[in-house]
Amino acid sequence: MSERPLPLKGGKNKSHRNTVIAGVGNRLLGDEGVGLHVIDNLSQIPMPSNVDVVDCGCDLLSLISHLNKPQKIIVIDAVRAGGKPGEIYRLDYNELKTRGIEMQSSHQVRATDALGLLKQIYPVLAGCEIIIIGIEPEAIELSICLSEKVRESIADVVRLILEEISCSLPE
Amino acid sequence: MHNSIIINHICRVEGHGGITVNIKDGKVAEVNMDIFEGPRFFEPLVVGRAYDEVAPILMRICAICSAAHTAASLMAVENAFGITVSSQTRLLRELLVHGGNIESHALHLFCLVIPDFMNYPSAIALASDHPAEVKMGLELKKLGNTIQETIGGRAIHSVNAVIGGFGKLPTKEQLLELKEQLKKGLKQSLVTVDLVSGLQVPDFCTSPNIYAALSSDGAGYSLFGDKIALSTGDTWDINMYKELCEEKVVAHSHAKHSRFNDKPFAVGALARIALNEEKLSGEAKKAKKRLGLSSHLDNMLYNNAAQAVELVYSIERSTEIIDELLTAGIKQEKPMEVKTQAGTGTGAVEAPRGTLYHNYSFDEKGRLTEADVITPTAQNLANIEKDLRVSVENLIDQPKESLAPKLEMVVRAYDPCISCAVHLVEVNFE
Repeated sequence: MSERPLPLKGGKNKSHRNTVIAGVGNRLLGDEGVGLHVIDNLSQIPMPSNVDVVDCGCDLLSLISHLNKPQKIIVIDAVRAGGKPGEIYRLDYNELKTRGIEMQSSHQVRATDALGLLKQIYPVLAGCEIIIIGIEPEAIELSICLSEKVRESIADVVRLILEEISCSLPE
Repeated sequence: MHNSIIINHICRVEGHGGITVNIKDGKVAEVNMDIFEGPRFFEPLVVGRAYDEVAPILMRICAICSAAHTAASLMAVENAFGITVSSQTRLLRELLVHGGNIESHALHLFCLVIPDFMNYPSAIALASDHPAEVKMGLELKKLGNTIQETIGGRAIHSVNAVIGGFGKLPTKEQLLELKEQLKKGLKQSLVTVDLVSGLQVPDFCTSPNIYAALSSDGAGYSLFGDKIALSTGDTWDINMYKELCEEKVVAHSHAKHSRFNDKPFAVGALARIALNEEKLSGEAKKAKKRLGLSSHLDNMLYNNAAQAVELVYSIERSTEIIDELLTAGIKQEKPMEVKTQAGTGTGAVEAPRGTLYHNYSFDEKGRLTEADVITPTAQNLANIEKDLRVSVENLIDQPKESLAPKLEMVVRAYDPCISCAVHLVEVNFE
């Protein structure tokens, strides 16, 4: 992915879909918190009113407070899938099992379980597209800092998410 | 004969494998438990930081318990600097903690306990047969989140609660709206009590328990208190918590164990009710009676029922607090001024899983020099081991397929921070 600097200002939105962007992870466990660091960056970009940017901590079920007929949910989390540190995965929730990737989590309810439960309970999510943006972690240990490779991947993750919501980057 | 039972937990922290029970000649030879908590474990994250940077970091130890961590952290800093907060701040902080209690108990009961007791492998499986009940559980969790969002500014990891007070105060309209939602939540919590009353509680882990919980001088049941009460009759000031939680290295376990007079003790909802049952009132008191809870219970599987009672209690108490705030009127107070000084302070709160202690020392400039956080899970470890030993002795003739899930039920009843982990069980035969 490119090395363009982070777009911290502006952004012209072309999205017409209600979208929730949810970061999940624990900031005290190094790369485990990368999803929340991405949310920090996204929070500095003006978002259209139909896009919610949510810091879920390590409780993805807290999404229940943000389910206002979303047509798309984007979850950002650390995902161990055997790649290189900082590698970015774009996963369709419905394809997770067939791809054999399990999102391992020290969270109370695993992220994939939380999504499955929400989808089962809330009919409003039946036609909702659910995308998981995973970042391969390097160091998961007591630390409030990201490893270098993971930190460097954030700009690309942010760009990928802006593309997901059809939000054009500032010139 | 079962040789080894491994309760793995899927944990992202390398080197921490969960709970392993090794059995020899029909008895538990050793129990190894790995958790990434313990005395001064979190200290490296905050040492050298300014006093006002500590709570925003350490509240993130747990998303589900973030309100309790926030309150305990702020209280520890305030006690170190000799700051006394207003009664309005105390009420708002208490309301925040009740939001966390409602959220956590609802999540534990509906996503972990009820599926366990009804023989469903997961909440998702339960939801396919009982969608209305699971949805109600999630709505109760949402109520807890909403309280925290209204008072703390965010559903998790409060930004409004600060040292000496609150940065932003809720409006009268917000409190009235919250009160309406609590009315609905009370009805749902009573339905929860009905559901839990129908669950058969086995007695295979029954054995004598010592309970510990915070004790307040007030007339009512509380999640706050200046003293630690034990079911042995002992009472200590919270500043003496280290003597209670003194952790000892035990030969047969990876984890250090908290022991009182060399005996394990239990903290959590059942401990709170065992020590303060006469202080419950209203619907919570009725729920306690309905679920058969008393101070004499020695079966930790009733901790789940105790959580259902506390769900009712926290909703009723939240309504009371809102009434008190509305009657007095929200005062536009600014947080108390902080004058740094060298000192040490302890903050203690009853978190959903039990008593939580934060203890900090600062230099004269307000830089943190030492930090100690003792979580409820760390205190419960020795008691979990005791209950696992008793359970294995009572169930040793059962096939591994039924023994392992029962041991998981014991661990899960404590609602430990590793509860997410105890899904996978491996039993090896010689």
